[in-house]
Amino acid sequence: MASIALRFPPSELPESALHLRDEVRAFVKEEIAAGTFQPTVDSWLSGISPEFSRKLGERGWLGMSWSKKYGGHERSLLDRFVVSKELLAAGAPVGVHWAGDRQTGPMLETHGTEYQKQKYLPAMARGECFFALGLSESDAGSDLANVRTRATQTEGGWLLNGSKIWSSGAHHAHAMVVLCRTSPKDDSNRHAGISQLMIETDQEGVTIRPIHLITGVHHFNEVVFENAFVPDNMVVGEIGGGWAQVVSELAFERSGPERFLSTFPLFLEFLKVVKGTREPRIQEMVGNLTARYTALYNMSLRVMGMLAQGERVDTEAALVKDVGTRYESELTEALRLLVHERGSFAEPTRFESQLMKALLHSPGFTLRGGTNEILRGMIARGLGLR
Amino acid sequence: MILADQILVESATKLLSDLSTVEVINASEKGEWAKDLWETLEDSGLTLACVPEQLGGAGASLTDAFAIIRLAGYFAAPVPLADTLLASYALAQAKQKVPLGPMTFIPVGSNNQLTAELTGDSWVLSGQAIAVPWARHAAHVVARVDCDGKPCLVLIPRSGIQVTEANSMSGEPADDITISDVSLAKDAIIPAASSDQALNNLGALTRVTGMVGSIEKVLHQSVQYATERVQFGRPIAKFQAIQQELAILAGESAAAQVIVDAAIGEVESAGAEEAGLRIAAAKARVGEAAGKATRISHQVHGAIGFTYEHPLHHCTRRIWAWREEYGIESEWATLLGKTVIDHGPDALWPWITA
Repeated sequence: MASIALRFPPSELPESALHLRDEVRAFVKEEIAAGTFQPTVDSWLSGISPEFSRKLGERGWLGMSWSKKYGGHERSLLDRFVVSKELLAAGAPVGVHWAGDRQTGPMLETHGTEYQKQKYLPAMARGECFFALGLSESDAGSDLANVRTRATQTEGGWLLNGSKIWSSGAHHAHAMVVLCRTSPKDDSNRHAGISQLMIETDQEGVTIRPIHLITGVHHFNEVVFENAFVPDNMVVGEIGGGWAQVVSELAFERSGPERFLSTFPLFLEFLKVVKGTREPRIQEMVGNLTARYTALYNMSLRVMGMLAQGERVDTEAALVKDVGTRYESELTEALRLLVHERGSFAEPTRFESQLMKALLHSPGFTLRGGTNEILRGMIARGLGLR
Repeated sequence: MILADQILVESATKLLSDLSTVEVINASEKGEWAKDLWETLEDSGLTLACVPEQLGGAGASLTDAFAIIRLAGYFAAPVPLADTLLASYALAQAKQKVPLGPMTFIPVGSNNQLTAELTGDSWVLSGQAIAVPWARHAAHVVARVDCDGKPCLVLIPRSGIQVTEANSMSGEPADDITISDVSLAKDAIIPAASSDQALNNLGALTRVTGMVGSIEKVLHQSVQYATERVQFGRPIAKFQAIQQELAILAGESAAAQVIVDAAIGEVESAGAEEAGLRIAAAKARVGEAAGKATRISHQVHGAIGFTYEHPLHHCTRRIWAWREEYGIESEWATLLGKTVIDHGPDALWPWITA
């Protein structure tokens, strides 16, 4: 028998998490009733509401797994999973805190200095300080180790030069952690000489320029660094150790329920439209789509269970993300064929506006967080093919 | 969630791996009963795993029994483990002592035209049933028959049936049977304790569980083959096109596995009838995985995998055959979708995540 590294051991939510789930559901229901937000697809990219993020912070639903010492709540990753999946399924506006809460915070807690943790984590957990990611560059997309942004040592710190692109929400963010070269590229070890430096977005030498999506909406940014000074106390982890740090961060980036739920609010809108239908074609498709969500939910839960146990889940997370993100678009394609009427563009129905948004956002689903082709390469490695 | 007993899983794995060999599977398709395999399974208590001890079984959980069915799918075991499970489950639910030996089960449905008439003091059974799995090798057939308008199970010994042999796509027996005026003892008529829906649900669950095992196997076979087969001077595993396809196959295998586990978990916690929708979801999703898994595994294997000589077909043919049994996936998807639409959007997420 071939050796297969992929495994999905059963995982179950503890009683405490089920209780938490009910709390989040009740909260979301109230917020929707109060008109705080309208459910929207891709809400973890496009749902921007610092006020909503602060409300989550007040309830203890940000920084959930972090140490209490740093404003966290010392709850398990499964508890965080519960809050995430409920907010995403409801299409709640979680975009502004998403990346920081998901990956920068845990990374800082592991690799940051006491000063950094004290300064940023409590504010992040309150929903008052937001982070953008500083990873991709024009020549470093899937090939992240090819980053060219560089930092050179100077009196008391580092001078940062270069630029990051696709930094979602950088224009709302207070700070970002920038992956950069602190020593020249060594072709025999491409992962050496890479570091993570933290920088605040309003400081001198940092320019944020909008990059508009195909919707025309501003979510992406180019962030340019021109001799931006980073004091030594803003170096995250080890100089030269940035690659290992960022790889561990990516497990958090890839494993969450946002990798299959981006278009779930569209499905809910669809069910309102077809309420009471007896068309077998629609019934069958709804059944198939529900079945696919059920499988993805269980895969996602199992990956989170492993992550909560401290296991490495790189390959399994890549697999769920590959299946899940392809499905986000496939759902959209399936639903559009089941609703015949098309109305005014001046006053589209909620289903119509969400359908257009889901389609226009769909190219991003299988690109962000590592393109699916690269992820499948990782899965192939996990299978022992390479 | 109840977990399958690891010792039981390990011993079943060892046993099936030793005895469900290519030769045994091919001989079975030619009509030879896999006697050694069956008897060894039976001696180890694996054929009646979830039947309570006082009724003649091993007293293990339903989860354990399904773990065995999955392994039987993985090793393409040419014996009626799934059908014996169904027959023994129906009998055990009705508090009947379960006989040893291979069994098969005939649920209600258009394939079941059996009738029982009370003649004098005894019940007389007649009629036909088609595509009955493993009928020719079954020591007993358990059939759902109405007796005096009441849902009953009848336990029919092999001697009472005439068999017209036929095989399904898998190469496993799926015989048509005829029963002509067979008098049954009073105690061979048992009031059914499980609903037809429960038994049908469970039947579907045995099929998707077997498919999960077989899909896992074709993934393993394909990975193995890709690392061994050399073209253009290197193993085909080194080609990205092959890697991408096998990654998709791995995703389908994982999706099939988790959704079937969820359905088994619900049968354990809520019962076979109540778990119907989760089983419907499993049938729909595994049916989809089946199509992709068979396509990709055959594509990766090239022409050799298209031949009888190579054992890939032991699992791919079973996957195709089981997909057709106990309702095709569109039927189950329609049932699930109808319920989802009726219950409305607010009920959907709680159900998916239950």
